[in-house]
Amino acid sequence: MKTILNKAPMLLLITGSALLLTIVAFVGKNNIYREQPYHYSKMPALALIFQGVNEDRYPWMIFFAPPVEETLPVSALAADEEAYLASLPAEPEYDQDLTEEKNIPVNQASDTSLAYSMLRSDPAFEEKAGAEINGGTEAGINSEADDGTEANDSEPMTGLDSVTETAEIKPLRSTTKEEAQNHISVDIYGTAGVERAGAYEFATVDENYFNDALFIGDSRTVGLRDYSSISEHGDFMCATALTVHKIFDGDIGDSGNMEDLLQNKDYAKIYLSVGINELGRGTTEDFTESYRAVVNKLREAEPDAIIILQAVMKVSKEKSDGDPIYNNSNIEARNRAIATLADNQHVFYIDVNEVMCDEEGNLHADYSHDGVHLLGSYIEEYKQFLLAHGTVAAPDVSVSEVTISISSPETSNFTTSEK
Amino acid sequence: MSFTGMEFIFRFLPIFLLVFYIVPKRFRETVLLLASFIFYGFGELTFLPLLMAATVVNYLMGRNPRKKYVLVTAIALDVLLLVTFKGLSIAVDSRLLPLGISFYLFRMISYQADLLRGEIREKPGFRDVSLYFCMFPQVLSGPIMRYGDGEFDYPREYRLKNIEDGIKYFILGLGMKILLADRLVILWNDIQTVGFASISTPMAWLGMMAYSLQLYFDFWGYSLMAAGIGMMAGFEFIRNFDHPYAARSVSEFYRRWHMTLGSWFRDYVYIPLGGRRAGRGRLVFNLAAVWLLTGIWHGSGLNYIIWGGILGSLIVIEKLWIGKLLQRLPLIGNLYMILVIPLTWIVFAIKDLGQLAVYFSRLFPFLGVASSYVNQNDYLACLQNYGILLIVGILLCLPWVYNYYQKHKRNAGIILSLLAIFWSSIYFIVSQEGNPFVYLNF
Repeated sequence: MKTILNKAPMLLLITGSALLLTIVAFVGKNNIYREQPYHYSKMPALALIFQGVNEDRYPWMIFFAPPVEETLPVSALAADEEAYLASLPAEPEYDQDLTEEKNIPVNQASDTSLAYSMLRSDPAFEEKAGAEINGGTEAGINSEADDGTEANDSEPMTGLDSVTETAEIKPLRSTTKEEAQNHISVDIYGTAGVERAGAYEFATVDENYFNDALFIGDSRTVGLRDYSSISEHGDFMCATALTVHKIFDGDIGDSGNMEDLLQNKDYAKIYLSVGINELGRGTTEDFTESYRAVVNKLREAEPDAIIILQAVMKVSKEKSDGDPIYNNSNIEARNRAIATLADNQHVFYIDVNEVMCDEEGNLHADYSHDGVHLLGSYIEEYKQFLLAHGTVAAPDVSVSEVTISISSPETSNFTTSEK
Repeated sequence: MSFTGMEFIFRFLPIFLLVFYIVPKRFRETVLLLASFIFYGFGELTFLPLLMAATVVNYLMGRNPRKKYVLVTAIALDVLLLVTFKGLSIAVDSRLLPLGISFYLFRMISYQADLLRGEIREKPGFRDVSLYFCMFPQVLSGPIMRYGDGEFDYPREYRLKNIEDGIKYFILGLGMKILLADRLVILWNDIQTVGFASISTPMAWLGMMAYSLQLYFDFWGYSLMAAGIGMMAGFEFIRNFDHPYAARSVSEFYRRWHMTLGSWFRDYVYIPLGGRRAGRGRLVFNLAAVWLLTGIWHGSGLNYIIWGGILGSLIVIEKLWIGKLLQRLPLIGNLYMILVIPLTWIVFAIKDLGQLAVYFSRLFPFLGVASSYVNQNDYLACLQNYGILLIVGILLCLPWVYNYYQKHKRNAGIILSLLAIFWSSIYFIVSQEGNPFVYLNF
C-alpha cells in the first residue's frame, strides 16, 4: 500500500474517491436521493450524487436526512407528482352534461379540438356553451364569435364594472394519467379562449407605447431585449429558462426581483411570455393554474396596468418532429390554455405565431438557427408584430375615449396610435 | 461510447483495466483486442463486421511483404473503401459513414505502405496487426499511430508509473474537453443562435477566439485521453499536439497540430509524390494535392476545400518566399499565426458560404454594413460569462504552462488539482446528460 501511495497516488486517489462516492450513493439511494430517477443500466450509481448537487442536495445531508420535502423543492414536486398522477382519471373526462347531451362516446372524442368543434356546430350546444362560458354577459364568446370585427360595437369593456366581468372558460376534459406520465400537454380547452381573445381588435402604435411597459419572459424575451430597440423604451425582467413558477420566486436572472420592481414602479402594460420551459413538467391544468396565479398577482400589484399574454412561439418543423416534449402540438395546447385567461378588458392575448409560422404552423426554418430562438435579424418582425398589437383600452382611460380609439385607431388623437 | 461518458469512465475503463491486469501477461493483448471490439460494438454494432473484415483482409494481404503488387492492391482497396463510404455518406445519408472509418483505414494504409517500404522487419502476427488496427483508445479518432510506434515486436513492460501517468493524461484531457471546450462551444452556439448578421465586431472576434480554442481543446483533450488510456495498457505516450499556437508559420503550425495526421499525409502522400526535391512547380503541385486532400478529409462542404486551399497557398508562399524571414522575426511570426490560424478556423467552421461572408463582414466591418439590429454591447455580457474560460484557454496555449505541469506532475498540489479537475468534469458530464429535467432550457 505504501509503495502504491508513493508510486501512484493519483490512481489511489481516483479509485478511492470513486469507491467512496459509490458507497455514499448506495447509502443515499433510498434516502436523500430516493426521488431521483435511477436505473443501474443507465448510469453508474455515483451519478446520483452529482445530480443531487445539481439540485442543491449535498451528500452530507444524509446525516440530517428526513425533512426531504421541505428542503428539496424539485424532489417534492416529483413526490407530489405520484400522488397527483394517481388522482387523474384513466380516460379523458369530458364535462358530463356536454357529452351526455350530445351522446358522443368518450373515446371517439380523443381529439378535443375536433370534439369541441363538433359540439360547437350544434346550435343546442352553442346556446348552452354560450350561457356557461359567458356567465350571463353579452360581451363574451357568443357575440364575438359570430363576427369578430363587430367586437367594437359590443358592450363597452370598461372592466371596472364587476357585472360585466368576463367569465371563466371551463376545460372540456381533463388530462389523463397516461397523458401526464408521457408528458403530453393536452389541449383541454379547445379554441374557446383563442376565439374570444382573437375577437379583440388591436391598434397600431409606435415605439413610445413601450415607455411604460414591462416585459417578463424567457430566452425569447431576452432576444427581444438584446436585439431590438424596445429595450430603449420599456423595462425587461427576463432570463433564459424562466418559467411561470419562477416569476415570483426569487430573482429573475440578472434582472432582479419581481416584487421589488412592482413595488417601486408602476407600469401601464405588462407583457408576459413564458411557457416553453414548462413543457414536459406538469399538466396543462397545473400550468394554467400557475399562470393564472401569476396574472392575478400582477393584476393585484399593478391594478392600472393591462396585461398582455403572449402565446408561446412555436418551434421549427425539424425541432417539433424530433422532440417528444418541445413540439408544436404541446405548445398549441398550452397557448389555448393561456388564451382562456384573456378577458379583453384587462388581460389580452396576442399570438406572434401569426407572423412567424409557415402555413403548416411551424416556425419558419429560415427564421432560426436552433429551431427555437429567432435569429437576431428576425426580431425586428417580432417588434413590428408587437407594434401592430397595441391596446388602448387601458382601464384608467374613460369609456368614451376607449370607444373612439378602438373603432378608429387611425384618426384617434392618441399620439401612440400613429403607424 | 465516448471517453467522456459515465459508462466509459466508471464502468468500461475500470473493468477493462482490472481484467487486463489480472490475467497473465501473455493474454493481456487478447483482452485488449476483445475489449476493443466490445467498445466499437457499443458505439456502432452495424459496422463492426466491416472493421473486422477490413482487419482480416489487410492482415492476409500483408502476410508476404515481398509480393508488392498484393500490398499495392491492399492500399487501393483501402482507398476505395474510404472513398465509397465517404461518398455514400455525402450522397445518401450521413449515417452510412462507419464510426472511425477514416482513422482505421489510414492505419491500414500506413501498415501496407510501411510493409512495402520494408519498414516493418519482423513478420507481424494476426493479434498484433488487429490490435494495431482496432485498439479502442485509437479506433474512433486516432491518434493515427504507426505500426512501429506500437512496439508490438518487443515484450511489453507494465509499470505502475505508466498507469499513473496515463491517468493523469486522461484527466488532463478530460478537463480540457469538458471544462473548456464544451463550455466554449456554448458561446459559439449562442452566436449561431443570434445569427452572424446581428453580432458586433468585438463579439465576432471573441467568437473566433472561442471557436479556435474550443477546437483545440476538444481535440487536444481527446488526444491526451487516448494517449493516456494507451499508457494505462502499456503503450508509449503518443504525442498528437505540440503547442501549435506557439508556431511562427502555417507550415510549422501543422507540424504541431494533429501531428499524426500531418505526418501521415507527409509520409504517404507528399513524399511519394516527390516532396520538395522535384523542383518548384512540382512542390506547388504536391502541396496543393496534400492540402486539397486534407480539406476533403475533414468534411464534404465546399468550405473545407477553401480552407485547405488557403492553408496550402500560405504554405507555398512560406516555402518559396517568406518562411525563413518569419523564423528570424519571432514576434512577427507569432502575430501572423495568432491572426491567420483563427481566421482559417472560421472558414472551417461555417459551411454556408453566404454566412461565411457575413461573418467576415462582422470581423472587418469595412467589408460590409450590418443589415440588421446589432447589439453593440453583446461582447460585454459574453466577457462576463466566458472571460475566465477564454483566459484559461489562452494560458494553456502557452508552452511553459504545460511544461510547468510536466516538471511538477508529482507535486501534491498538482495531484490534488487533477483530482478536482476530474470530479468537476464528472459533475458537468452528469448535469448535462444524466438528469432529464435539466436537459434543455430556453
